[in-house]
Amino acid sequence: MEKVHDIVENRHQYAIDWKKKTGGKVVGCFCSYVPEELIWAAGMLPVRILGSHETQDVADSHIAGIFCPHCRDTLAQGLQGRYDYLEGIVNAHTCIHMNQAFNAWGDHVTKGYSYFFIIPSNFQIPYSLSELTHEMGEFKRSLEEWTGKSISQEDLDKAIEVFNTNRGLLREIYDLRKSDPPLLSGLEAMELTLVNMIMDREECNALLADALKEIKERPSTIPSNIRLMIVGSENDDREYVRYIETLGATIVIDDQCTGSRHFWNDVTPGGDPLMALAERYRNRPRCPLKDGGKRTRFEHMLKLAKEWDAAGVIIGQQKFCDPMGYEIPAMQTMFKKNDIPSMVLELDVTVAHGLVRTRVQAFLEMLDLEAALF
Amino acid sequence: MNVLKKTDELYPTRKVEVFKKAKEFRTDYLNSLLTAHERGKKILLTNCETLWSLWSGFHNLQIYWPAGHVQDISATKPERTIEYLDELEKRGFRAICAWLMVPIGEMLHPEGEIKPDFAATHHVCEPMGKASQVFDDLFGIPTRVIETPQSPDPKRLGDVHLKFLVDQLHEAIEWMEKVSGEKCDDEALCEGIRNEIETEVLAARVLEFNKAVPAPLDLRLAAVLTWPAWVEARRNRTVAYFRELYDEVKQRVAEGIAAVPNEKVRLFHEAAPPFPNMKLLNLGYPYGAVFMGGSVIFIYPCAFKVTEDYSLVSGQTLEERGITLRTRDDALRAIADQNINNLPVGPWMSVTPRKAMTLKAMKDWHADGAVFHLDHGCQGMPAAGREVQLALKEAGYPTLMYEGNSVDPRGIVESQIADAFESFYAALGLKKGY
Repeated sequence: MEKVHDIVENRHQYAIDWKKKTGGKVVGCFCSYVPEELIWAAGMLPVRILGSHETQDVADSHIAGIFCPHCRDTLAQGLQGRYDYLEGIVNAHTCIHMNQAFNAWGDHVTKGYSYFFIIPSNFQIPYSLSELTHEMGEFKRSLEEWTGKSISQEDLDKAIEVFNTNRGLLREIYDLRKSDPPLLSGLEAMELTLVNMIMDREECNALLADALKEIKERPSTIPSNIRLMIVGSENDDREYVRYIETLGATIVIDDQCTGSRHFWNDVTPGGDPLMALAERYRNRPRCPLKDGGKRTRFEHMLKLAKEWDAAGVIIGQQKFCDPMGYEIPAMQTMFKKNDIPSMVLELDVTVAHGLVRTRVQAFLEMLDLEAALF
Repeated sequence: MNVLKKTDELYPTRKVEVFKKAKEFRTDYLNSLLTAHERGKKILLTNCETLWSLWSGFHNLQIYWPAGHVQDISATKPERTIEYLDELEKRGFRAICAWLMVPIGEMLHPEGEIKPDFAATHHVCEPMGKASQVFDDLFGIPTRVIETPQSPDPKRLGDVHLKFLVDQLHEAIEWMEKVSGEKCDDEALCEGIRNEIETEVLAARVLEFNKAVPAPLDLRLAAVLTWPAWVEARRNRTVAYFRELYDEVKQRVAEGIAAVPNEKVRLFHEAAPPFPNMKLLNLGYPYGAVFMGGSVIFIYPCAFKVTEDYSLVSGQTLEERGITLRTRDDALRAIADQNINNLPVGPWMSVTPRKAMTLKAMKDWHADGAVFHLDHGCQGMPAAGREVQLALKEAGYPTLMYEGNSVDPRGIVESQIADAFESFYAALGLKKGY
């Protein structure tokens, strides 16, 4: 677990060392809908552009303050040269906010490869599978053109196998959070999910297997606190999770693109690998934006909350995230109907400790009282 | 740069004759909306700005374009706008798209006048796409989302994307037949789609006339005159109106008739204007500063094609392209193609192409500077604003960005915006007075 923490803490150094070791290219991904398997199959390292969670003053002249803090934090890191080791960037068509960060990054930071992965927002449309399969093919072709290396069927099969193993390991780790007390903290779980967005997946699988063994064997240090689920827009803020857990709660499950949504479902191998990838990305637990039309994600969230026995839910909304904003009232109603209280916190670049403390403490006291009464 | 290139000589000006007709469209539309239920019609709320004609085959359907209604309410009943917004805020919605909060709030408000029976939203931006779920949650009315594929590079959109949209449009018609119980009249559908495309092409051509110096129309006038294309593009009456408008504006250019007699500085206004306080846009007139272009009129409802060099060039009508619509599929393919290939929405939503398009449009429309509205009521229109502003500055154009709200009057601090505008005009070297 210490190694996991170190890599997350020094993620840029990991990528720089990987390049030295392999001579390969590193590609920054702006969204968890970027099919990383294709990048990996082309012999490159896909890394998710995560937040720095540091205040900055360089992005505001490129993206106005009415757009989410995460997209401005992302762009700021590019402008500050923190990702200078990237040879390319890829964004999946997500929201207006991240599209701005991606485009501005392309114009002001990256001089190399830049690809916009067209992806439908309304996956309920039956034809979305053919469109997405087509886009997988387009992306593959673009990567092949860029690298001069053809991606074979074997490369794709291998990538699918490695990524499925990775997802399986993470699900196994998440299962260890079901017990009371859970075998790992919310912060540890977050670092374990983030590390696979940083590392080479094959190398990461070995690390996750070691971590799994270590967690099972180590003496439990996690107290039996109030069990919480976190739901959110993009949220990779370890301080946010750490701080909430210092207030008398343990985060036992999440529904976030930097958490369970990233690894929840596998690619079904066999047949056309591009269609298999398209099916996986189409059927994965959806983010607020990709869950257009008739909602599907609430049912999944509720299932997680129940299976992991969450006493309450903290809904974290990136400031100005409209897709999330549209959902929150209905989401809270859904949790309420199922006797799971919830509260909403706005996410910013840094944690507003005083505000979070006051609100989370009040929420935990309310949950504690409910538990005592009922 | 053309700043202060004019003399103090005044241009001739005169009223636009067809203005009365544009107002009639507005009044007729509002009346038809308010009396729809009395007349036995069902109301379909749709933000599908460029897909209204999709519903032309349903004679018992009254199309409700909420954005047009929101403009009216924001401009004429600011207190009521706030009440509508409050309806949603007290239900836990915070700071989502104000253009949708107002019509939804009106549906919840006891004195709300328009209560749609169906909602079909168009996923051109995320807030619009997600809104359908709110209609379902709060009212349980039948809803539908139509998603137009978008790419910063229109060349990447091909047959697969066209099929993606055409399939959705077929399903949308079948959905409407099911929920309304009315069979689609395919002949009327073909006619509506043909008219919509012609209307959009004519609207673009009318705005191309604004390249002339002096501009024959200012932004407000252009918005009012092209308004019928937003709500009634599918009708024969609208095509006739736009042909008349085209002829009249062409004549104004030929005669050198200006919208504003003392035009000295030509400005683009980027993003939606502050509808609750439109008089702010008039502050430039005494200085000779005229808003005569910008994204709010170029994106919709105009059929501008984006060329290789990012020029906006008016497209062609179906007749000019030699296309005849005979079947439902012909019609749906035509409107899908129009949305994917002949409107500048996709590139406009992305930073890089929008910068190039704005720079080229500034040049082609002989604009001297641009004012950007950092609109808290809408995320789509101000997107890329900062980057476009930087690009214009680099190209030597003076620019101003002000914070406001296109819908919510509480988001407009009149004195602050007026101060910013007047300082900008003064910085341009302009002085009050003719």
